[in-house]
Amino acid sequence: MGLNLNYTKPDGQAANYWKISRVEDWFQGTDPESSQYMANVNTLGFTSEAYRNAGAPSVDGNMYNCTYASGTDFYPYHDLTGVSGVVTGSEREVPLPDGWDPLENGVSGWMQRSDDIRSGAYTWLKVCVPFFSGATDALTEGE
Amino acid sequence: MGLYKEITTDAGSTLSYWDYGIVEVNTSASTAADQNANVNIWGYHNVEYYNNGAPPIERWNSYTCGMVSGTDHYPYMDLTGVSGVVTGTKRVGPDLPANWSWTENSVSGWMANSSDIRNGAEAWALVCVPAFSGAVVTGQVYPD
Repeated sequence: MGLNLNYTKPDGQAANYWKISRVEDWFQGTDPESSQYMANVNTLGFTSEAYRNAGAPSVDGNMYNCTYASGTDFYPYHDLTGVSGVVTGSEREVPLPDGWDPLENGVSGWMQRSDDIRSGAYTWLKVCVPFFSGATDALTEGE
Repeated sequence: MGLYKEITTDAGSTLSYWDYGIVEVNTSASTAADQNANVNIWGYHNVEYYNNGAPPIERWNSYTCGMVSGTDHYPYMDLTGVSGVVTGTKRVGPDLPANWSWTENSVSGWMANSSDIRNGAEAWALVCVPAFSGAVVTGQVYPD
């Protein structure tokens, strides 16, 4: 699996196909609730899936961190304090999908609900990382 | 999960409790056969030190396992020329458990068969990494 997302770098190179290249699952300490339990999700962008499958090098890459027991949301939230009819609170810039559960979409959720932690990580990337907003699944069989 | 095994380092520290620090699943290669995970197991004086938040003493004991075929870190002895044997190898160390499957005990197997990859990594480390031969599992099952 991968993600199709068209991105043009400042230098003009295009990366249209994205793969998770490395998931670093950290289990530091004894408390899964702590921020020391988490995963670094590293992605690589390729010109196209064909280029990637042919072994061409990536043209871009990035890394995002998700906590183990509660998914991390990289979207900004607007402060609603003082808004008409609202005493306090915040609103996400882009609504979450129906039924989205940060616990289920934490790293522990990926492990419990998928036969490959990358499947859960891709779902999390699309919802919680603005860079991958609007990306579509590239359903290549196998890895 | 954790592993009990007393190991004395070259520096003289005695470590008896081992737990995962980080499992790095590397999928950069375009073919699954070339993908792997680095399993980093950290060593502590004992489980009490670990539970009290003491830092590990051996921090980066790292072992690699293949994505679609488990890696065996035990040496194999060449049997070529041994009486009655034309060619082949024999594992130096404990025999593999009955019904051991390299596919099931690869990283992809851990992912498919467990709710937490650490459980599969534990089974693999006990069988395939000589340093943990004979280690005793605490009985705790992830997610903890």
